[in-house]
Amino acid sequence: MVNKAILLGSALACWLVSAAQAIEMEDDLGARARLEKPPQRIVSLAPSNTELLFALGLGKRVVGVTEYCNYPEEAQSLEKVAGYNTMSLEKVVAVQPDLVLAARGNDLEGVESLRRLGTPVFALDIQSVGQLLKAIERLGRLTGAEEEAAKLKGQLGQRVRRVEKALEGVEERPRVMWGYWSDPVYTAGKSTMIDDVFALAGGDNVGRRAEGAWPQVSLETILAWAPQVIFTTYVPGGPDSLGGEMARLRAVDGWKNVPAVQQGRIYYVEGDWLTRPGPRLVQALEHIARHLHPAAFEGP
Amino acid sequence: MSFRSLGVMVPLLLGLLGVLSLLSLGAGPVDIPPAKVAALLAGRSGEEVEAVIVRDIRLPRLLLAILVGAALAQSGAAMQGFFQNPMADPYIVGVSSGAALGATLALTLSLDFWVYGISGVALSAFGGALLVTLLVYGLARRGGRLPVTLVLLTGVAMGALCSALTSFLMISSNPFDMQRILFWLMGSLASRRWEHVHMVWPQLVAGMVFLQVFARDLNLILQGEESARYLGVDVERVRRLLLVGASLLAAAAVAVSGIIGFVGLVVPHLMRLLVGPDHRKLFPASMLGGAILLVGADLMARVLVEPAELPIGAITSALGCPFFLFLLARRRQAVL
Repeated sequence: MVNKAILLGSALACWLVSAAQAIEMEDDLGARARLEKPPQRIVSLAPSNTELLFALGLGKRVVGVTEYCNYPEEAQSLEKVAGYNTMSLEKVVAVQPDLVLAARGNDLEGVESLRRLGTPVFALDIQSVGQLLKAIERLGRLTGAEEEAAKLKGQLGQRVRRVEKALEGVEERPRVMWGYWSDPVYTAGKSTMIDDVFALAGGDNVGRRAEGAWPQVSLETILAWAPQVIFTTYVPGGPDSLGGEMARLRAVDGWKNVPAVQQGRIYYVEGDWLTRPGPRLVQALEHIARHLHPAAFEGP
Repeated sequence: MSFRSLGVMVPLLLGLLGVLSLLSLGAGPVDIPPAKVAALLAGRSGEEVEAVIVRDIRLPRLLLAILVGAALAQSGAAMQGFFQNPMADPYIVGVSSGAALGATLALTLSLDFWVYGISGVALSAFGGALLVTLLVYGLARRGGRLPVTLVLLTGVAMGALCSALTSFLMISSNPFDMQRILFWLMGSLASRRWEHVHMVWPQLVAGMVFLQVFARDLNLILQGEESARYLGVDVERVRRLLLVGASLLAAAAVAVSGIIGFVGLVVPHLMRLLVGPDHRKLFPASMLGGAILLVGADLMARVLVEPAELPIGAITSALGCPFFLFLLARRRQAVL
């Protein structure tokens, strides 16, 4: 009887030890991923995932990336196994990954194929700064890089709090818009990451006044919205020609009446910072907050 | 034996399809030497990864290309016969627009469920295609008859309605879903699995055999409905069955491949130039021609911009149109 209990107990202990090794988590698309041990060969199917993995110190374990993974520089020399929303299933399989880190925008049919071929897949769907911080923690748990994840989350969280602190007591919420001065303008509305960043940076995102996440609006709508600041991730001829573009807009009917154009408050923000749900999103937040509230960030 | 006879054309086309298939299994973004591919196909074990690539990634995709290409081309040949119109294709009664609406609905509502390995998107596309076909059929029916013009116009109107709804859905979707919808609309066999093969092969094979059975009756009807009736053909019944059979065939193909244009429109014309207008020969020749075109196009879709993929619909048109225009230009008579 006692023997049996010991046997049972030791079996339980063994199971607990192995269970502590293995990790099972639900991903952002509702699928479960189970890893028997921390992954050693990771494929990233999104530039933001690549940036997150490198920031967690897992760069050496990344064995496959997308054609658009341009940051950090080391990522550029890695094996390219996917495009933006298409992937080469056989190239992913060929690098023999023990974890594929996917994203919402991926070819989900391909993601399912990978699962059925027995490759663990974990998909992220990050839509806000808060979700980014949570995702870092979960990613750390999944990959066995808890310490690095806690550190990165702490650093980024602190930078976000510093922005929030600077804006304490600032009542003004300038009307702000993301987009490029084409007609119609494709802008960011509710439930987008850009909207979240604008809110954290102390702005009133005019895109929220329209329906949908990515509304396309005409110039007359923009005149009605009267944005005081415009952030763009695209300037024809490159960011350096922004000054010339603004001078040109001041002479264009309609646009010359937009407050942001009149006051010369159109700013460039690196698209890779603002639109990728990676660690550099916080850089975009700081950049935008400083331009929206220059006075709040002055001082000692 | 003339060049046009099936005894010459079928082995010729089969040979071409065989060569292309081997090429397609051997070539891809990952280099696998031909000897290894042969060993793997012969059932001998090779390296695990290469076996997975050839057997579980390339082979199901090749089979789908063959099945979908054959189905679309034969469906197109039947539709052209039914409507007696060279512009007819498998999508003429709104199959593609219905499927597009179904797929778009599933993609924008994020219906990411899986039934026996088949995605909600494929099921929803199949449902949309079926629904539209049944609606067109029901609306255009007059007594026991299916007047050609009425079917055509009802199909065009239903198609336009579905496209409008699809546009509304797309404009209100987020960029991720928009990208996926666009890629689906352009047709692709990317990432398809054995589950997709299992889902459609029974329907496709049954549909193709079904149409083949009515090939002789269709010939007789095209020579004159009056004389066909004297020869004992139930003209209305045959036409009904042809329309439904060809639509279902297209619906099953579209569900797994998205909308692949050109194959169903031009391959039948191409084959008519090669084997003549007899549907008993035209159907099998079109099936082989469609399979050849799609296998070739899919190979290019996989390797041209690897590791990304091209939409196969764009390639079928780019490949086939110049060849078709060349054949048209060589013909002296004005009629097809």
